[in-house]
Amino acid sequence: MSTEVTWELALIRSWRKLALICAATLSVASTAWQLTYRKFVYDFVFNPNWVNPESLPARQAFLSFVAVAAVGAALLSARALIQARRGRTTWTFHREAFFASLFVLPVLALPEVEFQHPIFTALLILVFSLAVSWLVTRETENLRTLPDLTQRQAHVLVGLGYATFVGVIGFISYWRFITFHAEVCDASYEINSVAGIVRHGYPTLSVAAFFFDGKPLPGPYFVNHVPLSEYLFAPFFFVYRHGSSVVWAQAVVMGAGTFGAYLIGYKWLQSRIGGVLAAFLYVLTPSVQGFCLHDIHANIVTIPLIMLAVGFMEVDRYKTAFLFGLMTAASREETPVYAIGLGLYWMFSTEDRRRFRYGLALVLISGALEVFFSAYLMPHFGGQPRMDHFNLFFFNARNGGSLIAALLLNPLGALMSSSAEVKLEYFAITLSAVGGLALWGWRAGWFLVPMVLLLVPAGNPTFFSLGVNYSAPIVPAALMMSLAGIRHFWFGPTGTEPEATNLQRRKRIRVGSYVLASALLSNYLYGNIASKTYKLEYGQSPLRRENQRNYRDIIGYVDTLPPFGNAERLMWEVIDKVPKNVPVLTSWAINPQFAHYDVALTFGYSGGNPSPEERVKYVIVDKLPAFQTVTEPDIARLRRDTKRWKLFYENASGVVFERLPN
Amino acid sequence: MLLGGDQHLWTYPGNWAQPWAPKEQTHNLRAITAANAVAYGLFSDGRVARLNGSWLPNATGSWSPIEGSAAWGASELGMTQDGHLLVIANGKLRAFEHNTLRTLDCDAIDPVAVAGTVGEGAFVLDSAGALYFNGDGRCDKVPAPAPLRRIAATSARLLAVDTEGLVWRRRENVWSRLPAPVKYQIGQAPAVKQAQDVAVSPYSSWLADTEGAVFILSDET
Repeated sequence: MSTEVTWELALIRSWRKLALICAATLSVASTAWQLTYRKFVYDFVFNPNWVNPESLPARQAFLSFVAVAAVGAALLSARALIQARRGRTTWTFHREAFFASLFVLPVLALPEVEFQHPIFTALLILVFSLAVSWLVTRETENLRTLPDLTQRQAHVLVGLGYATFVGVIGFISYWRFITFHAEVCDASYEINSVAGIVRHGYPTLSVAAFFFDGKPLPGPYFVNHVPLSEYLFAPFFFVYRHGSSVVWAQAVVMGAGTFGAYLIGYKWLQSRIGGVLAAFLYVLTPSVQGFCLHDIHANIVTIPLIMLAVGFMEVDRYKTAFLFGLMTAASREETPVYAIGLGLYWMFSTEDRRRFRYGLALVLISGALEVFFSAYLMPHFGGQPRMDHFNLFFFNARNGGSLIAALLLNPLGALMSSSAEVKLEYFAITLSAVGGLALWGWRAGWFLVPMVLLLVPAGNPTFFSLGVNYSAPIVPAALMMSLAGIRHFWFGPTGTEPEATNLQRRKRIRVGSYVLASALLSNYLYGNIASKTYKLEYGQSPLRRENQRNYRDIIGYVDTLPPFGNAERLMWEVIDKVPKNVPVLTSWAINPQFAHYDVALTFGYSGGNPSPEERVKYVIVDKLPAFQTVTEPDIARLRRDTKRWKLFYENASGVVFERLPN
Repeated sequence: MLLGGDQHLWTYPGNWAQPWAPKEQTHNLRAITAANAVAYGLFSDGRVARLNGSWLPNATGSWSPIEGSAAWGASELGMTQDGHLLVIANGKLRAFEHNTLRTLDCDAIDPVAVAGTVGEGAFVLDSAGALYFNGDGRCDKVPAPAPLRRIAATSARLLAVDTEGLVWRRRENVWSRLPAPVKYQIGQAPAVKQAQDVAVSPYSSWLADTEGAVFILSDET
């Protein structure tokens, strides 16, 4: 007896499968075509209203790819139809969905797409990650259990993640330093500061001599910032008194958030796999990586400190957690705001009285520290917090009260301000790194406090550029809320029944593969570990040694790391000839390499009274390509001024002049 | 200094974040040449003029045409590092001294480009792209890796663009091929461009590509 159904019924039952087969084969054809004709893909996708005449042959060729795909689709569809006619009523769709999503990958691989179209890119990341998640979840259905890792396995994996972060990011930061891509702002500032901590016990500054008119150099850094977190870098510099030690120190400290993320994941997701997943997500976070390449900054250290504080609190190490909370507060003049968010989280996220008290203490101490830094310490040294960074105020007065009043009394204005294109792009880039799950992590919403107070009122685009230190306030919230979002999807119904266990396993595989896919893809696009590009230079032009790819004239990124060639080797020879820790004046490009000297000024920037040339014993000028500042006139002028300067050393990359006695 | 495609003069460096600054001027220029302390221009009407004052962007300056230079038939200018003006006048290499043009050793050559070194030293190119050196009382042919189109020189090095748009450097009698300018465009792989012209300053080498973009060479040392 035949069990065949009518063709009409077969079509009704199988149309979804047939549609996905067609989409998948078309996607594969599109992928192959894009890889063959890469030159035309950008305009094809992003300028669809323009048909480039040069692209017509490629467009014709696309039809051939589609024809082949159509044959494949016809065969596969015929098979599905026959199955339907023979009575089959269900099919899986995940493989077709995965293949249908493949065509976004060549587009994402095109140069600059991710920074030219961040919101579009975020959507593609989410779509592709969903397809991967669906595929992985369905393909692992036969996996009966998802065994947790042993403690040893988990520790090895977390250690590997940390080593990867420190090794790769530390190396790129170091490479950036030795190839003269580090900048006066702020490699010189912060290396000055760390060297001051080691030599004088407190952060000092000389490159910004304009702060210290008529006063001896170096001066106390508190006139400009309160970079107390740089005491963490000081031991590295104490061991090896060279600017590169600070660069490595920053990567070592920033990477330490991996351990905090592990502890958070371990407790929140109640498994070591969850802990390792959280640790990997931290390692892959593009902004955390990028902060290490935007020279050196004290405020970004709050990110690993917050991760460690939350992590230790989760494993009931209250005092250790509180200590990290205090370190967060004391990192820089604005970082008490970060610690207030942390304290509020501890106070209100659980009904744990002890945690509440630690949170309350942290909030109160942080508030007091903020007042101390901004109302006493900085003014005592002649400075004040930089309110010129912000442009959202209630009154004309640029002060904290006016800023908070604007946020509280004009929330729609604040929201409007937050919807500027550059801000939305930055939010999209940040949120897509963990698949947008932060939107489900409101339990950790207290970490938005620094973002609300430090980012929303800011209007300068540099505050919303990946890796720029000013953009840091959103990162703790993005990380913590993403982990809370993962937790939201991580657990299924409780119980020991096979069905409940199976559902739990599927949920974990689904969310785990989803966030890993989005994190890996985001890291490829926006990160620096085995990524598409290196985000090497920050700040507006002409703060560039490279002129390849640009995001809003703020981030300069390159396809490959710059070479360490003969020019750089000879420049280091020049640097090594200069006596140690004598007062020096340098050209812009090589000032960070002297910033560990007590007095290291730079042409055209340091200013102050007496003038820089009156304050130093040696002048070092590079002959590297004059992309940023021209050095040839300085060399010619000093060479002519034989009454004041004599040539001390010169090679093809640079020249050292020694000041003659008066 | 840079002579733009619109025959206007630009100077480098300009203000912070604006590397090139326009230099106010009253004449259209066909060519410029400069040493440390002096600069000359070739007007579109054929006169050769000296720039008074500094070439720096914020400095005021004016051109003083050399009397009688309209009759020279000048097509190219060059300078030595020590400030001697070289002119290709009516198709021959000449030095401008004491308000007159003086014949140099390469008088048998019909040069199309000149690049001074020091003293009477000058590299010249003939219309076939062959390279000669005028100096030491002689005019010697200099072996080159390819027919050349444009040259620039200091006493220590010669830069050249060949007829294929490739860039060459001659230092201590050794020719090296330099990297071609590379441009990075949205959605496109890096594209190698042909060089159009070269210039040198004491420690930098400069390229203009066929699309008018300016590059600083990064491998000079």
